[in-house]
Amino acid sequence: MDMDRPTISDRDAILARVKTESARFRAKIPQLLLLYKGKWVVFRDDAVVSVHSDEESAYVAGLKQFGPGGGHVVAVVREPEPVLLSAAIAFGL
Amino acid sequence: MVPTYKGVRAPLDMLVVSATVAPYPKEAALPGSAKDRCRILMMIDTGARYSLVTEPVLAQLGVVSIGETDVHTSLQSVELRPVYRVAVGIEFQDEYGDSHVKSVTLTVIASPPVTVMISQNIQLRHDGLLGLDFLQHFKFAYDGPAGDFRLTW
Repeated sequence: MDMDRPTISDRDAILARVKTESARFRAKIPQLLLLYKGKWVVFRDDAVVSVHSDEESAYVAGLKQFGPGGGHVVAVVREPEPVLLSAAIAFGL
Repeated sequence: MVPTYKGVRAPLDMLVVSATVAPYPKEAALPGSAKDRCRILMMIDTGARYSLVTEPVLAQLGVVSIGETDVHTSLQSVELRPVYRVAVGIEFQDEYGDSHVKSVTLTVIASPPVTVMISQNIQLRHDGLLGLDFLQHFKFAYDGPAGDFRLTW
């Protein structure tokens, strides 16, 4: 067994890394919009690793390059827009 | 007859389906995960743009988030929630009674576990919510007077 390969016991640490990387990605959105607006990117170590036209391609590329424990982010480059979980929330319920 | 999922209205008039959630692809699961798929109850919400799966289910599958998104949890508050890419499948039956699983790849939002109290003594546990990102792959028919619904594709 490859001892360097992350396992389920590393999940919390990987999730923490994704959270950190996600914060870095969000901080860089103003700069990224100038270059990659509307594109899907794989983002890791505070940098864009690859650029794709759709989410599926970006997701597969990230998984192939870094594996499930890579701690990378797959995201579309756009202004952050809060999601309504349910229509009821639009009525303040 | 096309393969159909026929559901009945659950307590509190909620529309609930039995679905399987699995890593997508299976290599996306961390080695040593508790389960390779989870069968869970999911509520249909035609007013939701995205689907949700609870954190404990995602943890059992050993999948890892691919980022975070802002979510309105009320008009006043916005929270960051992790997002995961998973496969959500439903078992349909054809006219001969044979089963056909249709699986859809979705980027779902993680949520804390939820239990709906139907009454003081009865709980309805559901581990996910199916929004329009899932329903867009199917034809969805709700028969109010009969109290049932059908999904076909």
